[in-house]
Amino acid sequence: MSEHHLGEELLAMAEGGGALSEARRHELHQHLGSCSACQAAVAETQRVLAMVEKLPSLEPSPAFARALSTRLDQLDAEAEDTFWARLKAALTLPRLAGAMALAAAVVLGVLLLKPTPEPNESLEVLEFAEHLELYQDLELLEDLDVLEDLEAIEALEAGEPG
Amino acid sequence: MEADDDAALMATFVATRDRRVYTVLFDRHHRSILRHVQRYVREPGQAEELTQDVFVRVYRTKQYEPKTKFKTWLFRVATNVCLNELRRPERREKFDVIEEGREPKGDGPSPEGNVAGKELALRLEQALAKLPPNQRAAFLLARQDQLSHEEIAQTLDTTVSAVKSLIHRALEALRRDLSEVQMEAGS
Ligand SMILES: [Zn+2]
Repeated sequence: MSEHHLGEELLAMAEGGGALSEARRHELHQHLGSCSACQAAVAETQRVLAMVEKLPSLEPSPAFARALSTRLDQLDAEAEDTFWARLKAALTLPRLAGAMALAAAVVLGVLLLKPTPEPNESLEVLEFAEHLELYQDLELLEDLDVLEDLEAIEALEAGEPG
Repeated sequence: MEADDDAALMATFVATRDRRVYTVLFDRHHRSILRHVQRYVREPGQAEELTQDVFVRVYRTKQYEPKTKFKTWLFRVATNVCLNELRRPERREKFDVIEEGREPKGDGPSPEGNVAGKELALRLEQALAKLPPNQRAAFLLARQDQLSHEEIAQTLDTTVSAVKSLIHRALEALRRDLSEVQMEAGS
């Protein structure tokens, strides 16, 4: 003990020894009683810990949240653009076009079921793809390769920490 | 380690893309993430930019399984963002610059004890800046964010015993640095 002093248990002792077993705490207390170097180390550690608690934390600048919000808006806009470009490409493939027509029919059906349709609401059928979220809600479209590719790329870009 | 309310919120956000849910998570965590990022990048503007990068990643997350505390997951995303940034050669030299010769800020005449306290606080900041990033992060995640050793291990992608060692070495270095200050002041 006299050679190794407190070692990695110094921190635990500086915090009162609560994290250690009672037997171990007793043992280290006995060492402390006869070792001025370890007594000093415990006192210094307590001083460092007290100083760390008083460290000031940086407040984000007023522009911080706004700048992030702008970046998220840009992301949404880009995602929509990318989606439309891919959709356009996909529509040149007949089998996908068939699936899209089916999806359009479903959306049309949903719209016709609305109790009070607006006069120009049929236009919404053509705009049904306007939001990516809508597509993600349509299970019907989940088999489309193009959507899977898109999501795989986005998942990669998102860099999942795993 | 179990998932918490915020992990459930994150799962809801990923499923619904509801920006209001995202904003709740941002409001709760951006300060601690900014503080964590500053353990790697000291320049405030750069730290804010990287913190934004972290929350952009959160926003773009397409797959999320609430298996651990959200905070632990988020700290891990932040650590990855910071380490990637540190690896960029053109950025590397900018990091961990010790502000040598920086005078302690004085507010006019003050009691001697107060001046000594400010000097010590400054030396603490400098001593922290001299630590390797992983030591500094492990030590401050434990002290300032009250993360458990297991959570820190997940955050830093290492083992619990490595975390204990990082914290111990950080503390030893700080103690050494700061006791020198006291000896200088006493001489
Ligand atoms: Zn000793």
